[in-house]
Amino acid sequence: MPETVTLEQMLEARERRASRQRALLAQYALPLVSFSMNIAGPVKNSPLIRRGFRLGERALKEHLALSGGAILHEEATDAVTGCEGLYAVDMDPRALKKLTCAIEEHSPLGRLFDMDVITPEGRKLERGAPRRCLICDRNASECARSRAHTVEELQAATRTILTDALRDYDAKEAAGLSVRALMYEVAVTPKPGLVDRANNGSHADMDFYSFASSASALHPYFETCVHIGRQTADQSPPKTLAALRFPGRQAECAMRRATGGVNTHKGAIYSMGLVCGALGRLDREAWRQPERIAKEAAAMAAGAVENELGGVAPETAKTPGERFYAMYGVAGVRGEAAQGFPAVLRHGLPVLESGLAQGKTVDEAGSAALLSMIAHTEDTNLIARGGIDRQKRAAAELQALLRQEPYPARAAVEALDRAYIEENLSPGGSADLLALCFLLHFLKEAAE
Amino acid sequence: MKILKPAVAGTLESSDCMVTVEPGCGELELDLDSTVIRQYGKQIRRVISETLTRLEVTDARVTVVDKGALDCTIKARVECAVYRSNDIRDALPWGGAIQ
Repeated sequence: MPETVTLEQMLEARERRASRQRALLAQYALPLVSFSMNIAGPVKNSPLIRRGFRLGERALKEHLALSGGAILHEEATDAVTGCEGLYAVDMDPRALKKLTCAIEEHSPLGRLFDMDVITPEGRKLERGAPRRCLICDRNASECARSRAHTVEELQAATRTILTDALRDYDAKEAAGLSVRALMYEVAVTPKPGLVDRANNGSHADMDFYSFASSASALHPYFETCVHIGRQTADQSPPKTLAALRFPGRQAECAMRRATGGVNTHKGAIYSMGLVCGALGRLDREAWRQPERIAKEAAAMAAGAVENELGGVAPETAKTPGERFYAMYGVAGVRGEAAQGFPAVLRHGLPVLESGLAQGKTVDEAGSAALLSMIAHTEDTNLIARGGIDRQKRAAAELQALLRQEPYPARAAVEALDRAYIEENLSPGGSADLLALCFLLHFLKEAAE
Repeated sequence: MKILKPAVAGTLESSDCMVTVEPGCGELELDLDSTVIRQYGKQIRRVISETLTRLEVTDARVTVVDKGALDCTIKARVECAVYRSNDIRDALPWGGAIQ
């Protein structure tokens, strides 16, 4: 049950705030921003409200930094009476008021932000235009005074604003990080046999720019996947995967449109779309937990191997993935997903993250992570180009190399690159997993 | 209750009011400023008067600057100011659930 406040508690909180304001005005002789959330009804704080407040606080600080308004003091309260922040800012009070009004007017959550500006003389600056009511768009203070709307109506409107804005924000952020992860993956140099910044690897029909075009075209798809995950969060995980199928086809069309018909990211459309769907199903706090995300993705993909690849004979197989499952029982990206991406969690991600933590460059840590996953998966792209025996040998060779040096020298990876190009090998499946490693890493960094 | 010394309660935030009570000159004197004085001036005066009557305050200068507070808030702020003028700080008999 959410904790409710009494009128007495609210009145005390306001007086406490006013007395802190007086103290800070006396101490700093600077204008103050007093930020609180405009929440009707007896529940003034909750995880949802707190997230909204933090986003408002971040917007305020970032806009102040842009405008050169230095914050000389800040303090925050997180109590049952609500979240509030006080900031002493070295800036002209009128310019400051203009800035806070712009945040209130233009952010998706702005209608719930109360950012008062108090002059060094202690006068609260008035807004140019009065605030509008959440429900009827009339003057908010009139509706509040006349109790034009019930508390239930106001609470429902508040909840809608918060959940809609945070859902859109989350989906956009996940989509942005997904595109970033794809761009990091292609940019990591050197990578054996793959397109990177130095060469096109074993590929005649694509280059770095094909990947940039394709990654950019996939942004709306990733956003859609998060929304679908959220919309189907109450249903069984495989239902979410089923709902992602058609958007996945559309994403493939967008990829081919962007690249002139080349397959740059088909595997990533599957695995990263799956992970974005999993993110949508999970609470935002879980986004920093790679194991939790992988577990959700695995639950979504459970049965996909049998449903999609089972019953296909080598002669009737339409795709390389179907053929390799029929011939060797290698389940490719579907198998990786259904097992919860073990190569990513056990090899790629730890190698990437401990490399970065040790101060290695993104190229060094990224290429080592890639090698570790080639070594510990059955990369279907390697099988497609070089056959199953060559794939097994490639994995064994890399296991031996990495045992000696987990972060092989650039020259060693370049030699590998030349050898793969010579043999026309390309570990595209592992490249998609490297992009997933980057995404899971970025999600941890983006934790609020 | 007697107004023994000047006392203040409340803030100038929206939906609040600031109430100042001071010893009077033998009668009740009320000075009201409100952002909603046209629609609610009469009602606010009545709430203030009723609250003072209930507290048996008959001799005081009362100044209220209202920023659109609800009746329950105005009542609570007036009570608090009167108690503070009598140095009553704990267990103030105000409050109640927010409706």
